[in-house]
Amino acid sequence: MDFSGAVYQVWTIARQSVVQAFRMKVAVVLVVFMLIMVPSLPFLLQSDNTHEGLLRMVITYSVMLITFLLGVLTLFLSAITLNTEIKNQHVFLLDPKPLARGTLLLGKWCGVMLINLILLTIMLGATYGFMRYLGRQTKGESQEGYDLVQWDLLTAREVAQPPLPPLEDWVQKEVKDIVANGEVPEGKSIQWVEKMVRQRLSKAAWIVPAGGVAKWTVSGIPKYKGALLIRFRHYADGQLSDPVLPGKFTINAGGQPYSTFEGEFSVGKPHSVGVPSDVVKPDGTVEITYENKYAPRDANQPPAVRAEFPFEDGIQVLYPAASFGENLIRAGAVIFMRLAFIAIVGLWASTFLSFPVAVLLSLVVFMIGYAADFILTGLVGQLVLFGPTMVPPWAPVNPVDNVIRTVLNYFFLMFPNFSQFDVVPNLSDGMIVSLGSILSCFLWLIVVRGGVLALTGWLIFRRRELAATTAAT
Amino acid sequence: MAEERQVVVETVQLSKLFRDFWMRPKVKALDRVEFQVFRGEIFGLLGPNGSGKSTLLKILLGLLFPTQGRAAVFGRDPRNLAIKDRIGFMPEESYLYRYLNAEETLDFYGRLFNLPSAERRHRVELLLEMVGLTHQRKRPIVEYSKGMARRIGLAQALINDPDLIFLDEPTTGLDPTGTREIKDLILELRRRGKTVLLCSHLLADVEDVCDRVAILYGGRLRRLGSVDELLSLRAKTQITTDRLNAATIEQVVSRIHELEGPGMEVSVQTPRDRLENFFLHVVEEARAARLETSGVTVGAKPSAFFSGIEREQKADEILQELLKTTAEKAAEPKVISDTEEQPVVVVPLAPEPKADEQMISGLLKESIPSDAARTAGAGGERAAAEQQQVVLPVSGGSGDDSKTTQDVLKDLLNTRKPGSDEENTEESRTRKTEQ
Repeated sequence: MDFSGAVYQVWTIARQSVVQAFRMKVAVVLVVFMLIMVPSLPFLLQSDNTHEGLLRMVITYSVMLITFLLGVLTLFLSAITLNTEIKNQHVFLLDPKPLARGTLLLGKWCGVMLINLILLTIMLGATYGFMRYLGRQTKGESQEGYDLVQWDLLTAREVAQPPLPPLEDWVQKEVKDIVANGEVPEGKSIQWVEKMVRQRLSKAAWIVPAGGVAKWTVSGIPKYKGALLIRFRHYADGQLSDPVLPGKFTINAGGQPYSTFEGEFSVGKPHSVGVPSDVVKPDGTVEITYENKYAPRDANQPPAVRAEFPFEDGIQVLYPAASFGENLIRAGAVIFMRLAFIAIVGLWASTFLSFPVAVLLSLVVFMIGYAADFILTGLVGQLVLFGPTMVPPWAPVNPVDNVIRTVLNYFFLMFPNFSQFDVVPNLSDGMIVSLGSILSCFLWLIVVRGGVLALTGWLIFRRRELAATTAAT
Repeated sequence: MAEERQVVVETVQLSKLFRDFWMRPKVKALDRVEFQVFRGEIFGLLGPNGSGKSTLLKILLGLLFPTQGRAAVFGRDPRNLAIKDRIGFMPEESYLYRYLNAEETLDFYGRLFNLPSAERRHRVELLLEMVGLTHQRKRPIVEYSKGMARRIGLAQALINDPDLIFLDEPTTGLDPTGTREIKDLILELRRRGKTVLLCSHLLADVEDVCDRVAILYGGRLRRLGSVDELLSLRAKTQITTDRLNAATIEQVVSRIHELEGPGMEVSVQTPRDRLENFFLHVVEEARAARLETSGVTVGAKPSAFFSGIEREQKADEILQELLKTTAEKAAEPKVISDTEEQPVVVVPLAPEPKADEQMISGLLKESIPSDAARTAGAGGERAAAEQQQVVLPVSGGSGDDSKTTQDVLKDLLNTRKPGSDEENTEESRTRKTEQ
């Protein structure tokens, strides 16, 4: 069979699967359900009574709903499509044709993905239209709210952060000091010490004492017209009666133009402030200066409170990198790849299992994918079978438990972690879904995990006696 | 002879053992089955339920794998993709997609053979016409009767103009018209050099069309041979003539007793037409009266794309051409068996066809006389009341085909003497002269 012939056969099988899904009304029912659900969300959900909050809710829940529903649909479709061919003995007519079993599998997968592509396009298209409609509604109420929605939500921003201190150097220096001072805990290795130090320093922050000033330079920002968003989050090290910390930010201090904002900012929460993009210097840098204006109001307050800006997300500059529509397409690409993986799992299971068992197995993989974070950190990471249970985290782990944890960690490596490829936070935050994350999703989900499953599924299916279940009867 | 012919299907010590989940032996479906199917023949697989014929068919289609032994189709493993271009398969049940209509179904299977679009459309048209479903082409298969589904099942088996066609119970669920059409089509396929391997419970169908049959029981091959070899009643001789009056019959019987001895058992009876022929006659009358039907229309015209036919020719022209050719062939006596057993001579009469005969001939114009004569049905019938059969245990053969029945009978009665060379029929050739 020549390559173009095989491609044509794949297309034929895929097309057939799509016709089947639509004529059997499965896909139609789902589309109708989604088209009813998405516009109903504003009425069903409780937001914070702001337009921005409402839009954030809508985009969050509609994308979650789409991802979940299409995931379940894909799981069932992929598990049933091959099993139906076998159970209804359609394969008795397909297999005697010059159709390689691998081509049949690939055709089935393409068919499921074609259905997904159609449904995803319809659903994301409806979501896009609805978000745009809701966004326009805010203009009638206040220009400020409208701008905020446009800058903060209906956009796709890239994040630029100040360069981090040389954390690794700090780690090495601290470990060296611990070893030199003979402070390594008994029974622990230097690697363990290093790990502990790295964990601690990862939570480190920029510290600005009361009355002090900090200055960050953020680079790599393109020149554009519009608003630049400064996002910050800080903590206070003292016991404040009112958890707010007065401070003043100046952008491009000493330069022209410059922007400044001052106020009492609640601690522990992210704050976003829009400034004109003119503050970006020609070399693409922005200077942010913060002044800790804390002063005790009365004797009950601590005399001095430090502001702590975590390295992780203490100071961020957000600039538009793409439109909301483009971001939705990127998000769609990630969702599509997740669905592609689920389809591979479903088909893989049906190469050797009957429909109910194949669905069950696929469902297990699906649920593990959703709960991977909890399973790895909450269950496997805390697993204690043989050692004492009530011990501090730094206490040594029982060796048997350690082995079990390691084995389970490797075992769960086989399963995907969907939270790594979750686009909902990006969309609800107006953050761009980076090409890197799309590529990473493709590589780890489709090429590596999907590739292994596809290969084993093909090997099993080509050796399977398709008439074995009925021949002996 | 067989050694010179091209082997299309071959099994060597083919065994199939089904095991349960724990790999314990459950059923031995096939046990060292060996046979060959040659190019251009119609080969029948017979056997009761559970005899292993479906398993055998599935192995030959690559749907099951042998436990021991070997199966080869066109000299290669049945799972080899290269041979699948040359295979057509019509299953016993309708394994078609219920939500597709006839046209879409044929188009789908045509696509799997990578047929170009124009060629595919052309074939779909011809095949729909051939199976009489042109007017039902847009109806979903789920709405089809079993017979209609079988017809579309047959059409899909022929979409690639296969060299080898597997037919599993091809006439099950079909009405007599459909059955006849399918049988005629099978014969037509053979005429065009195709090889047909069919499984059937309907022994009459197998007998009508098959050149050779294999009988399976309990997974083992019990009999294998040509239909004539297996079914000939070598201890009997049958003579069929136009109606004879009682005096002639008496004279013939006494002459036979005189020549062959008084103990010779002779029975004289009026032959009956077959119910199949009678039914077809009635249906043809109804069609002639233009009664409407929601079912299939007349089909079974062989499609023009089958190899061996100029593609530009229209089906009707091809059909006329075929009839002309076969009629010419039929004018000559045909040796259909080279057995060295006692001869069977069926002596044809050549009366002017009566009105009923013309109607039946018209209905069955696509049948092939040579085969029809063997099946005593398709186109060579006489009105039953006008014929009489003389069945006697032993008789000799006559090689002069230009003589009338009476002449032949006269020769038979007058010239053959007990103990003559012709009586020692060891070397006589069985002949069947056809109209």
